[in-house]
Amino acid sequence: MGNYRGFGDSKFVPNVSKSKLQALVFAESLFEDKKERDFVELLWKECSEKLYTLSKEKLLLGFPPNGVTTYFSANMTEADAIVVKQFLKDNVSFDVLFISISHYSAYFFRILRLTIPAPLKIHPLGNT
Amino acid sequence: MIRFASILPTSSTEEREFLDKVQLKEVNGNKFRLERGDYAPLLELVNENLHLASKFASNQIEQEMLTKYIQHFRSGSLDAHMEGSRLWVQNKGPVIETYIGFIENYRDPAGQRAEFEGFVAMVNKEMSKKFNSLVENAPSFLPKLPWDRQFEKEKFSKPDFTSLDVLTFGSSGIPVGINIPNYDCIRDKGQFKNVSLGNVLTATESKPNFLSSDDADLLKKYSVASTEIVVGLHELLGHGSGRLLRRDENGQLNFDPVKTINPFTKKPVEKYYEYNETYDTKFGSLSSAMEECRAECVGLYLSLDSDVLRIFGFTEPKSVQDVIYVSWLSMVHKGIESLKMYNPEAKKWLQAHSQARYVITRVLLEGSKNLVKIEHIEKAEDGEFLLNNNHFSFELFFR
Repeated sequence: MGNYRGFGDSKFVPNVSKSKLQALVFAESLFEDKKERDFVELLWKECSEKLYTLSKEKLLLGFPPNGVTTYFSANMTEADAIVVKQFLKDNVSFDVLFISISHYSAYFFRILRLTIPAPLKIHPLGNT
Repeated sequence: MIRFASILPTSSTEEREFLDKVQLKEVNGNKFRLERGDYAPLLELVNENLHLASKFASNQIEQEMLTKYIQHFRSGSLDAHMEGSRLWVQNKGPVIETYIGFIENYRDPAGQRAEFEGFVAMVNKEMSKKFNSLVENAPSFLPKLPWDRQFEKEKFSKPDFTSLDVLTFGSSGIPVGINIPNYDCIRDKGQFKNVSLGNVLTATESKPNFLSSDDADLLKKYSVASTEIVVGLHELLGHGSGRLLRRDENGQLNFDPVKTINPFTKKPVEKYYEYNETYDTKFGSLSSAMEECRAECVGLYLSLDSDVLRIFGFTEPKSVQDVIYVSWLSMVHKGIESLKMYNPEAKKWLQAHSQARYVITRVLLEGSKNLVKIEHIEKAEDGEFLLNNNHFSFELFFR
């Protein structure tokens, strides 16, 4: 959700072409070994498409189908968010310590199958 | 499924009260499952560094505060972060100010989930002194606002107001001012800090669009000072002034129905909030923009006051004139720039502050022919100008 303005929530794309950015990211001299290059390759594959896309539903943060959000899995709708709100309301107590569950640091999935995909494992670059 | 950010996995038996004590796991036939462990590898790094930072805590409160943050990131329990935030507020006037966690909910379309941020900043002692002076003198500035005393709270509660210079701010955007923590259960007890982030302004400065080179030079010279004045007034006397006229559940009015006169009809006010109504429920999607507009107007209006300007160090006539000019110029300038925050397809404003500034600009354009002029210029190279300095009459505004 990086390239959406913090002020206004609209998408911005790099002011250089994808091929130029790719050339910069993969400049040979930047890599110490193949492992590092493979890692960057993985990241590039994961995000380059998303970085540049200007398809209508990706232009603003919001609920699908009109927007994009990463606080909910892509198969969750605005109606689902209302159910989530109710669930939190039913369970949250601010009076007693240690029983408040909160939305602050939570990510919501709607499970369609029994197994859920594992999140992309990200290793900070410095530790590779 | 709800997955909380934490280092510990769901299977861990440690500190999992916040997951285990949830009894109701169904809403209208929708089943919920609670898990944790989101962002674990990243939060491990956070805690590693918070441990290192603990060694440099300057007092017992900071030490305990960091311990609570570490506990929060480890277990995912929000209570630990709330406790840490309480300690953070109690830690009054530190030279180095920090805050970390999932804080602001602007980017969640449901307005609930928060974005991760962490910042380190140093107190700007000189600027903080000016803000404190503004806080101290606030009760004498309030009566200058163009509405009756009846519309003000009986007593102005003085908040904590500090100016910080950011060393690092890890998030998708850096605000120019913050008012945290966001937890209502802490804020309701009057526990929060008002913080202005001074050097954010200078860091984001770039060559302004639309201005003549003279105006651009003036803006460059005074933008920091004028923004400090307007932002200070905006936060303190804008958001901090006024009160809602309401009737409580026993039918008691919180205002004098005879003395409280509607300035538009000159008759006693007839409408007020019922006990179950709030400003947000009444004004809905317009509420944020209107409240920001009110605060910006207060900032602009009081930026003309010589007592206010004296607090910020402006007494010499030429510099007084220039800093006022720049305060108004930059408001109109931001009003034009704010059009970027309008989505014509959805016919929607994307940002409350932008909508507010656009409205102010339109009012100034329509209100007086001699105040603001916008010209269409084919070649914008030598600049268009917004405010016509020659026609800008200061006397008009001084009372």
